Amino acid sequence: MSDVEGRPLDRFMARKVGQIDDAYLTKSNLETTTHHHVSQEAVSANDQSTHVGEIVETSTVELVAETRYLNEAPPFGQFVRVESDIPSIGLVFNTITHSVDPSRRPTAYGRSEAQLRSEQPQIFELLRTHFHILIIGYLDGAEPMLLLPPQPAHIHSFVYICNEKIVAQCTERDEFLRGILRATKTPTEDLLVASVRYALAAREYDPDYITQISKRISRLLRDDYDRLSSVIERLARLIARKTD
Amino acid sequence: MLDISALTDQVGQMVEEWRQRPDRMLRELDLAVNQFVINQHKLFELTVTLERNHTSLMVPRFGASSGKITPLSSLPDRLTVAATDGSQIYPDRHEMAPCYLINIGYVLLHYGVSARPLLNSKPMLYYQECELQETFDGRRSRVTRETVSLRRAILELTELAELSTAAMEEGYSVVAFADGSLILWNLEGRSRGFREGLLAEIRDTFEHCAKRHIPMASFISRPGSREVTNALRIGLCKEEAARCAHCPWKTGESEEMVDTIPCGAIETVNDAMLFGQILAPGERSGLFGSGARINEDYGDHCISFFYLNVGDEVVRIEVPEYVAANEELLNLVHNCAFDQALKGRGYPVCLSEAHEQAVVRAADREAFYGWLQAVCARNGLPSRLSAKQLRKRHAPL
Repeated sequence: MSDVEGRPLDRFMARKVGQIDDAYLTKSNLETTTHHHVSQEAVSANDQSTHVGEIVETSTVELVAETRYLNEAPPFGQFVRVESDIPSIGLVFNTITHSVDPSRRPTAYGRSEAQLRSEQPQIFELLRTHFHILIIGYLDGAEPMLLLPPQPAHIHSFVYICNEKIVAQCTERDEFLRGILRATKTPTEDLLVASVRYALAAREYDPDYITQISKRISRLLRDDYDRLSSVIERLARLIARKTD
Repeated sequence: MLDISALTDQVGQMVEEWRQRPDRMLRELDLAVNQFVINQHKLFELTVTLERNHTSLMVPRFGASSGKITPLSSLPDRLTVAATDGSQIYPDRHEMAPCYLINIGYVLLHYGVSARPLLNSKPMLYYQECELQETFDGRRSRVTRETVSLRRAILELTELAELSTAAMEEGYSVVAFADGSLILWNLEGRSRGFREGLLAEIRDTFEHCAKRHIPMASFISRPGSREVTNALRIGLCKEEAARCAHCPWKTGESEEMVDTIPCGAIETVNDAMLFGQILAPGERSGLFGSGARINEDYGDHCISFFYLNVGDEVVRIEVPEYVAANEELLNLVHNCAFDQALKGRGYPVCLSEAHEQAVVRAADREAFYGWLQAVCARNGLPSRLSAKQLRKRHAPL
């Protein structure tokens, strides 16, 4: 079973309707070509094994990606990079799991997920997880530019988790906070807190940065005291737990 | 445009007629059940009686276990269920291009094994001149919808066998389910060459699965067949030997009224209704050999059937001879069909998912022709709809 190229089920799927498998007797040229094709795909898939999603809907300010595996979206507030002609950088802000087929809706079975996985395994093949990405900038070479990209990422581009270096670069100043605050359809305060958490983690909760970012948030939300206090309180609790 | 309000009277009359039916049906059903119970343990003897008769009714071949009722038993812990279903875009001379398409949906569901299910489909386009023509009685004509349906039915079986074999080679223990009947009634009356070609494919498919001990079966929901009840009707015949073509009750030779024809006493009852009274949920009936004439051409792989109470209804399960002759495979098919229907809330989950994979909806058809038109245009090929098709799509006011 380890030999992907020669797996009987792969051969079945690659064959045309009505074409009988004669690979048991001799391997025809056609099949050799097909197998080569499959193995090429397998190789390129391995190269991209770290991607967490693939773009299925694109626009300048927001992207939608499908996860590689069901329910395995990156966490809310995570910084992600979308590999394209102009690589975009964004924040994960909404994850949805739903039916592949709009005419078929999931219904309640009254069973646990483990029970359903054993009794109704097909259900999980018919569901997909999508996550939304709020674009905050793009990469100009290796340098993050905290501006909306001149062109959105292409459909089918892969999505990767940003490394700490990129997160630190993106969160040096307050542009990413402005990017979150100007968005309209996002849960703004929650996204602000969640993304700042990643910014702090990228600097191992450096006290100087904590002071700096707190001042920036205070300045940006100075006209809305309730909102500001809510954000600061939540951040303070988060930092207290981490630095205890 | 359908004017629903214009149907009010007719629907009212139809419902009134239905209201009056149950009494007669219950009476006939009781009589049919009695007849079955009387004959249950001597059904095999009925074969001899039936051979003496010249009936126009289709009757099954009875075997030693035809009267036996078998309860549900257990399924193996690890089992893989394979299923296929097909759909098509029929050839349409009003469309832009002479071609047709068959889409085979297939699924592989694993139970007790940690492997991902397989749900997919394979479309196949037929466009070559030899695929679009058929010869019937020495005359060449355009391929018909019936021919496409027959090809589809064969492909459903051959792909099912291929899928099951591939799964078996990967180490899975497989049961294969097809949708509808394994008996291709439509082949009766077709040209010899066409019929023989397809029958050979069916026989090869069953031979292929028989050699690998892969049980193959088909599931027929709400079956309308009356083979068993037909045999019971003959049991009610008062003639020495039934000779339906010259029935004295129909020709008026008999002194009694035509509407009291003895075999007519259970004529509204079908097999599913009969076994609905006899089988408890999970139980299967005995085995019957199909009496269809085409079944004789299946050779060593002739089709037998049994009825199964899946809870919501009594369904007909058809199996080829190598399954019918092997109690172990038969039990596997029985238990698996019940379990699949249970998991699918009345209808096997493998077949409903295979259908979902196969189905070509009106929107898919439109998309296919739209795409085809664009490809033709890019290549400078003319692609025109007939005037009729154009008017159907855009009828000017």
